[in-house]
Amino acid sequence: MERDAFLTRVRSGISGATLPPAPELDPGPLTPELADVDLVERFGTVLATLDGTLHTGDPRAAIEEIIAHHGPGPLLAWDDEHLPLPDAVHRFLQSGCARTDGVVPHSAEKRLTHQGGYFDVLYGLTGAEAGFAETGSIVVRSGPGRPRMASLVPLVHIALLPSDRIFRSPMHWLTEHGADVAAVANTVYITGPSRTADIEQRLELGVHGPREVHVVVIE
Amino acid sequence: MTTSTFSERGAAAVGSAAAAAVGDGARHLIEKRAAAVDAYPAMDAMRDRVREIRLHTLAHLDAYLADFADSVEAAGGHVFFAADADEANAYILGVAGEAGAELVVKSKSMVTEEIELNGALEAGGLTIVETDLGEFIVQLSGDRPSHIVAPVLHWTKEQVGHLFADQLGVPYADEPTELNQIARTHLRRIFLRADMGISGVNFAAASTGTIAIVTNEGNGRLTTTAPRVHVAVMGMERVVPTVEDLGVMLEVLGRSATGQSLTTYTNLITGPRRPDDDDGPDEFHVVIVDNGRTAVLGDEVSEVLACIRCGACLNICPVYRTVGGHAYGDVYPGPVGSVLSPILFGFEGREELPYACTLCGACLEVCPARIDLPSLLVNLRERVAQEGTAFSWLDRPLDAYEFAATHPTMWTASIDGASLAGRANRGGWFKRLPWRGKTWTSVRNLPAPAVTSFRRWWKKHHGA
Repeated sequence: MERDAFLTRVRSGISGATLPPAPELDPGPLTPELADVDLVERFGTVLATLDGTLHTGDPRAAIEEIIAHHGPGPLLAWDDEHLPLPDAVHRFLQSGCARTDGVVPHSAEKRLTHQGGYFDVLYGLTGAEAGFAETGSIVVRSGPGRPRMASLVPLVHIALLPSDRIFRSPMHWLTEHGADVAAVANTVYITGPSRTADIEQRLELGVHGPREVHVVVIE
Repeated sequence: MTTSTFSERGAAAVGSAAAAAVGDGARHLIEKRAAAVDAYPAMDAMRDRVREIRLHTLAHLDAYLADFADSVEAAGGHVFFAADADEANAYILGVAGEAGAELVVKSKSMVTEEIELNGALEAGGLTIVETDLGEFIVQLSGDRPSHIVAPVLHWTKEQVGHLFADQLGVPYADEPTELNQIARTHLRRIFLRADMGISGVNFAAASTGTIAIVTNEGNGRLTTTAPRVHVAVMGMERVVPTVEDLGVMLEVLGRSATGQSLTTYTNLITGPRRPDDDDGPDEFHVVIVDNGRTAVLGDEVSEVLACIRCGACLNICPVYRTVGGHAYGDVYPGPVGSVLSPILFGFEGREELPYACTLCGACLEVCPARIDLPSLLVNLRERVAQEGTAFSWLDRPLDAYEFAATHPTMWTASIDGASLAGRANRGGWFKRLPWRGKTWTSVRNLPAPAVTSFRRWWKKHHGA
């Protein structure tokens, strides 16, 4: 249907509507009133309930611990310049991990071959724009050098989060940084590992996305 | 919509293993929701905000849809306005044709079920694969989803194991962990080859053209990232003014649906992949679907369009928990479906839906948009009653009642429980009554009267 005809029809629907009164929107704050807490501590507690892990302290030691646990494997990582820990990628390579290229070609055929190369990567290494203490979530934004797939296809996702980017709740971040959302093609809130409870309501991790999510705090 | 009635389908479902599983699942979700709400002191304030934003948007829907379309186009996306299911399906087929698509992946979406997109695309020669684990099971088996957010509440793990063994050629397994792994491996190969991804839209922000798609599994992200083309299909009422308003919706959606403070992946998409981006789709289309919504908007029950599709009213509904989702006969079950379906798809064959409710009010208690579903159902009941024909099955028992009530001797005899009690089952319910009572008990059980009638009791205790 033509856009104008469609919208005219909608308008005629509204004119017949008996909607409850809809006042103009309250311009007041949209942030929920929540108790003051230690943000890092709260973040870690909530993330743990979601089967994710928050690493505070020496970030390099945290990365080495993760690699020691799973052994070397293919890595899909953001470019160094987008990571708040300059030698993070290097740590993986030093431990015997091979890095996969994250740039997906536009052509159908090349796309197939390329994505096939990293659909079974073990590690994904990304930065994080923000963290939400209340929900244990991180915000990850796409862009050049910041492939979306790095936080999606690996079994183990490691996100590097600067400590001064932890916000009280999603709305505390969004009301300050709402414009950042649409400035890129994809902004995702990641709240723990991929999960499903479709079969008999039993929780299973890693159904399509990562089975492990490690948030490493960078001071 | 099938030709059977709600009461026929409901009566068949009561006591079945499938309905029992849906009931158990729903009770589990009720507990999870309650815990999440307890842990979030701002819930009531946010629900007020949600209602305000939703009603405001609906009152200016044409303007917000125009803004939204402009914003999507400014971000490099395409917008199509579909008056009905056929227009939506034809457009999506056209996009697939131009992109040379053969294999299409989908992430769970109610509106695509409403418009029966899969059938239309298959008729056009495309292969469609549902990627939400529950929907994947539904599709493989040819079954239908029984719950908005948990489509296979009615399946056991053994049934899934046999299905996978039969359909995917894998060894039988019945541990959810193994079943999950089988699905992950199988669907990864599909995602890799898929040309086009189709998703629903949980919410859309008019000012930026951003759409939100929430999934727990991550299939929503793979569907909208791996293929070359992404088509997002949305009911026209999904829009809100800004990204911040969209954030307010997210504050209540996960908590109300599954007791999660946020769903695992909240995917916010603004247009296709940007010129220097590493990955993401080259093309992005949004299909805005009316398909009867304008009629709902102009109806006395228009408030129902404020629904955010969390499913909380289904879980809390004693009728839904007893009969399961299929008895409702349409894509949208439970209290919200009983309001929406008759207006969206027509009253015919749906006259009973407004009565599939005890008016207990629990759905209003939990609705994150505070939609007054009980009042809307009463409104629809009035209209069904005024139409006059829908409840012909009730005429004969009512005639019987009228006859007995106006003939004192007959009345006394008929309410003398001793003459009837022998027919009741051990629970004190009649499952089958003779003569005129038969019509009533063909659709519901009747509680057996007390063995001693009130008249007899009064006479004995108070003399006369």
